[in-house]
Amino acid sequence: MNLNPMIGLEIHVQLMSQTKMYCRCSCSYSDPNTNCCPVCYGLPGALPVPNKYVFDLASRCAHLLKCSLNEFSVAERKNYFYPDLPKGYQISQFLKPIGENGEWFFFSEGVECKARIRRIQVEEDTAQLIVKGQDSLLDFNRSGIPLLEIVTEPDFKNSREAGEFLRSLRSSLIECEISTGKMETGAMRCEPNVSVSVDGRVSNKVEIKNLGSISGVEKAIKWEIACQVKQVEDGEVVNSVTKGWDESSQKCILQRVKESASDYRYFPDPDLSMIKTRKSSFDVLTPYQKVKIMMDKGVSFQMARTISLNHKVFNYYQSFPKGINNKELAAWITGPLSSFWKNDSSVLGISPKVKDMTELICYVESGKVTRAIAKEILPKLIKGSDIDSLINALGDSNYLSDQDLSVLAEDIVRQNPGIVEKYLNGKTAVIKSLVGMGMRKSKGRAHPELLKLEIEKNIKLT
Amino acid sequence: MLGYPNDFISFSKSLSLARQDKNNIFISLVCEAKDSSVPFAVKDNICTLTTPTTCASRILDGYISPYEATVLTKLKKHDCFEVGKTNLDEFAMGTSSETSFYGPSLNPWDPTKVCGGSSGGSAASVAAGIVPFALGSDTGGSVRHPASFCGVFGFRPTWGRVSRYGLISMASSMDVIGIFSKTLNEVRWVFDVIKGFDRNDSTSYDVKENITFGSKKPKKVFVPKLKDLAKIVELYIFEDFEILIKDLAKENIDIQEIECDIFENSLPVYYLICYAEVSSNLSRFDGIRFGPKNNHHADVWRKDSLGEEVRRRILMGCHVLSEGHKEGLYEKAVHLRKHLSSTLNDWSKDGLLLTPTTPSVAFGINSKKDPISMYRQDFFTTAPSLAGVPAINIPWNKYKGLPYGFQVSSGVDMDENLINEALWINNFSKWTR
Ligand SMILES: [Zn+2]
Repeated sequence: MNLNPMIGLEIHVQLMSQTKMYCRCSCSYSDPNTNCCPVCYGLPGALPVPNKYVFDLASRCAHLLKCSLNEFSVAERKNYFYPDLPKGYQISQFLKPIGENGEWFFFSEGVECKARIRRIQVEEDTAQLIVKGQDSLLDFNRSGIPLLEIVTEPDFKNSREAGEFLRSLRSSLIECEISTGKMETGAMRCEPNVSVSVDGRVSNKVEIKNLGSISGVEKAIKWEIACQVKQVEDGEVVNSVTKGWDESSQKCILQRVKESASDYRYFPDPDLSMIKTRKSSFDVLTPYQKVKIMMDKGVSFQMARTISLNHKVFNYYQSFPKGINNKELAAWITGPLSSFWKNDSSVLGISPKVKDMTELICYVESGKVTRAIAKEILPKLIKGSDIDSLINALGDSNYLSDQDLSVLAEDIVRQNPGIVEKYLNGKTAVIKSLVGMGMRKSKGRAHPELLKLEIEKNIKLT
Repeated sequence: MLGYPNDFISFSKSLSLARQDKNNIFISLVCEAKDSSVPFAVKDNICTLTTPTTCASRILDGYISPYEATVLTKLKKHDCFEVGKTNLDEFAMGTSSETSFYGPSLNPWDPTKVCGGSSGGSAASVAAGIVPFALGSDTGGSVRHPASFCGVFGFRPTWGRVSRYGLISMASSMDVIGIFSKTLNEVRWVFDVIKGFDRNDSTSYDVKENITFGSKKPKKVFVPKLKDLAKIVELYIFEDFEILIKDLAKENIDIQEIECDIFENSLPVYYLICYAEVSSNLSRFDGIRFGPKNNHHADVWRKDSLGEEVRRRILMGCHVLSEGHKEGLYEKAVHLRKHLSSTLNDWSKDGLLLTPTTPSVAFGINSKKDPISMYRQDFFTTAPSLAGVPAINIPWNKYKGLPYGFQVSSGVDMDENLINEALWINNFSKWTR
């Protein structure tokens, strides 16, 4: 079977603006209908006043996604009826969005991928419809919150690619302060569209809504591809419909059938003049570039990926001196440090101090401190203790004394006659497993090189 | 003089008691007025705090706006007080003020005639001497037209020079708040108070000028070709217009004749754009937030709460913008509008555009039944609207006791200059009080 899924994404991002898009109301969370004015309610006679900062943020995003920027962008009215749309139209964009024809590079499973960006545009959010029993209630706090819509071409071949695209994009949106990227609060929403081609037979496009997390996006796409493949193989027609992801049953559920293409009767909003877009000069490294930089220094893809997805972590990584062992550093960051930061995100990328961490890694590398001891020291280092005094305080408790070491070597050799035999028969590589055993037994407090010498000495004695 | 003119829909609180005696408006005004304060009337599509804002539509019957229009705030700061809200065609769509949910306004010169529209009530209240000035709104001629029928000055400023915040939109790209008064001096005073940038209307702006009020002779005047004009306006208007041109020529003013095509073409362009914007602007009246409570489907409900002309324009607008028709109708109109706009603004560099304001004097109430003949009332007024330029109706003369006026218009932002030139031309007017 020759299977080719085609996946496109439509991403809605709430922009990080203090005030709404076309009035001066606050965007912050608050009791229902408290951050509202005549503009938010769509009252007769009220007029939209554009928030220039929103357009600057959108321009920044266009720059990030390498879109061509429309110097003069036009706000158009998208006319349709829905109870959450107070004016009967949404101020959106159509013919001249902020940016068009961009691209985004990213890695998926270690493979380089590229997604083309069709367009990015700004629009105002609608009010929120809340159904309580028999009543339908409207909260206009959300009405007019600035949204950025990013539309990709159907360039993703599987759910993982879509997910990795979203993760890397989200990370840059946060770094550029375009959005908080918080999917759990709805600051970032994603609607994938999926179709498949099975041995040349192509299905119609299905849109999936209500996705609250990136892993949800991945699961829904995976499920939908399997569903469509089965339908195509069974000779069924895949209809162009809208589905919703149901978290409890882990299935996509049919929401509505598209009867015909909607006609939104777009036209330029006569209440607004053309918007002159200011070019952004906000440059950051994308996660894709970050991964490449780290891998060039010998960091594994998995570790590089993890570090690249949080700019604070990456900046921490970058602030270490050039001579440091990057592999070792990456292992520390993705291992002990990341679990520490998970517990206290306020010190993420701040503590431990780069200077202390550099010294600690050097101590381990030079064999002065064992890895296990270093891990024990770490919490104290984070709390602000001085590294030198911590190391000094270790005194003898750091490495095993010579006497203890020879006792340990003796035990190991005595308890493993089989391996010793192999060694004596010329398979000298097995010494490594003996050293490993000793390291475990000493809980990392044996110096591996010295232990090796001691074991060899013991074998020769036998 | 007045029977029951129906020029007001509602009165400010202190006035409404006196209003129960329908003939005693003057007395009540005297009671209200402080020593230095100036009463004025407001078209009922401009939001006010103390009186309902209805747009003369059932859908907004009793609606009290929680905020007030910027022009109101500015006038109040200058010791003006709002007397009440004046009648209009429903949602300002019409040229007779007959489509009001509250019934037609009567012409103060003859109660069997309409007072023009859509700002009919405002024009009538000034003509009747109830208030020294009134605010109206002008989209395709809604200030100039009733000013002509009622015999007062009616000024439409450049689009953007007066904030529209609080003016309930009809066709946003042409809507402006305009001024009625019996003298140009007062027009200029009110304009100076209400003009300028408003942070609540991003299309509003300031113009730096220091042109003081005073008569100014125009250099050149563009007029419609007389032989074409004869076919469009009634004879008495034509004759007066011919006399004026001769008078102007005697003053060594350069008279240049232009084709009437520009007006003939403006009409469909105006209505196409107007329909499109109306359909979108009025979609907020969807039965959820405004109007009488009901359990009907939105379609039934709308038929019940919106008048015929309003529904016609909404439907036409949806058609004009719909896929397959948008390109040939809406987009073509927008294209032609640009062309027209640059022509008018080019002329204004040299001089004024002078035309009759209306093709006739006020017609009888209920005498015009078909929409097209009503639309033709806007023959001379839509071109300046499309171009966004300022225009003024000058009350010129009376025919069988009914007034009619002439329109002068110029270029974008030349408002103060236009008022001064209108003052000069007014010297030739046969208007007598
Ligand atoms: Zn607001």
